[in-house]
Amino acid sequence: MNPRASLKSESVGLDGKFLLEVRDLAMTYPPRRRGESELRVLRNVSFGVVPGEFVVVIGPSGSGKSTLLNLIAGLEEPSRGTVFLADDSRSGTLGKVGYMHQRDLLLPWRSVLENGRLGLELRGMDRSEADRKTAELAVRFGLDDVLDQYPWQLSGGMRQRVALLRTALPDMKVLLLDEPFGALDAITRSHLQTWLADVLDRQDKAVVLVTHDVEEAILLGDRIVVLNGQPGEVVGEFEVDIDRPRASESTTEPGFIELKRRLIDALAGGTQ
Amino acid sequence: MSSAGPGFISRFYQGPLREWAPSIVLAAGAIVVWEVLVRAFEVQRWLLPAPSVIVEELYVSRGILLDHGATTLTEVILGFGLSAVAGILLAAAIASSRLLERSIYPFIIASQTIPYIAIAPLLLVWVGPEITSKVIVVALISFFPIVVNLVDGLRSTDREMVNVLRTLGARPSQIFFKLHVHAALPYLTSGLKVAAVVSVIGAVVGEWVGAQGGLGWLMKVSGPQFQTPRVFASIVVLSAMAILLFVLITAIEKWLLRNYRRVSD
Repeated sequence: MNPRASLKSESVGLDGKFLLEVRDLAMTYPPRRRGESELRVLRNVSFGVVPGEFVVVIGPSGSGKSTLLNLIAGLEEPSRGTVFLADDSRSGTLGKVGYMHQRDLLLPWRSVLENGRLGLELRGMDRSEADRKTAELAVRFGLDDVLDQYPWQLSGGMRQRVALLRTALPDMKVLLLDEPFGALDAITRSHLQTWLADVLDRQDKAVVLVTHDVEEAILLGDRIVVLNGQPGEVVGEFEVDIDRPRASESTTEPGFIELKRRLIDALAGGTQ
Repeated sequence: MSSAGPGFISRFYQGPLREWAPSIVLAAGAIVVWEVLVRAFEVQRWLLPAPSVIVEELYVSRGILLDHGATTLTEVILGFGLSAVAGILLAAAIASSRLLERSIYPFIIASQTIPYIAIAPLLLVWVGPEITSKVIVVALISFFPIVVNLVDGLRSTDREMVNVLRTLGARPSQIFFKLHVHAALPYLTSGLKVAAVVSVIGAVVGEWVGAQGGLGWLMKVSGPQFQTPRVFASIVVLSAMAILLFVLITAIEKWLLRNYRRVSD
């Protein structure tokens, strides 16, 4: 543990209304070789996510989006600042936060059922109960017909659904999604965006999705945090006041276009 | 004839035969040329026996060949089994500990530069002329491909997959058994295939240096007695043994890796 980070978590706790709070986060990688300079990836990143909220973090490549998610997930220790989780601020966030990547990262030797139940299995859940829970949620994910198939037998879109099934099953309060549809073709992608908004039972969850796609951000987010610069910092926050369900038709509404324009401005501003 | 020919060939040239046809044709051609040349030049059978003579010898001496073949096969199986168990344990240790990797791994690589033909007589002195010395030579020679392949395999795991398991709350031991072990399986089976084939060579080397039986010993005593057909017959049996072991491990590999197909993006 970073001593400064743990000190802070004792002195100032999580703000009561948030499920997840990121406070004053900074990340600097030391020089890899002598003569190279250190790599500053993030600085002064602060935001909170309330239960049921879908926050989209948008930023150009190189703005430290993936690093931010790695820090929230507890895969890396921040150079400065703290990640707070509700009821749990001291022992780190690793293993307490669901994290889905751009690549499906399914284990190729496991069937859909076996991949899906992985998180439950690791928690020591009884095998038959894990299978039952996995099969149950698979129905809602439209995966019940392919439970016995292997990743190589599935399309890219289906594999991402399995990856989300695996992430969602352990029922963690915070879900991190790192450009989950970035590797898919446009049609599958738009289909899955609609599906994701629909399938996530977000009543008591907080979702943080990272993307560089402005339309995806507006379609999915309740709130959009714009990250920009190198090192990346928060350059703007926008509430999305567009009724749900939002579909691809929403993209032509005036409110959508106006927000899109403001987001593009914020994204362009930071690079100057 | 001309109308039946292509149809007959294409019907025949399918399935597993398609895969093996080139090597079968090559072998058959070489055997025919060998037979013809030996007969044409009337080469003495103690100098170079014709394939037909070798086949005859295989039949006539089948009792001796089976007897000594069984001895060699026992040495191979014991030595190979020993090196598989020791190799897997050592590779697991090396892959999970930097200290072990730095201390032991260089010596494992260095051990491969020792000529086994020089070690074998010493083993004879140390453990006696019984089967043990041969088993040790087999184990020493087949140990290397298993360890090196498996260490590579255990390190081959996608780092991001490790992170997926970490975020799902996996303990280090769970990451090892549920991820690294599975990712390493294809590497292990490749190592075992190479090890099986060199095991047979190891047994022959061991027997050549000093033994009371086995095909290596049989070849060694048959040569000076000008029983060249018997030397060749022993080689045929040894090759068959190595090929059978290879095929057996390939079959096990196919079964183990039946679901391992990689996703092509």
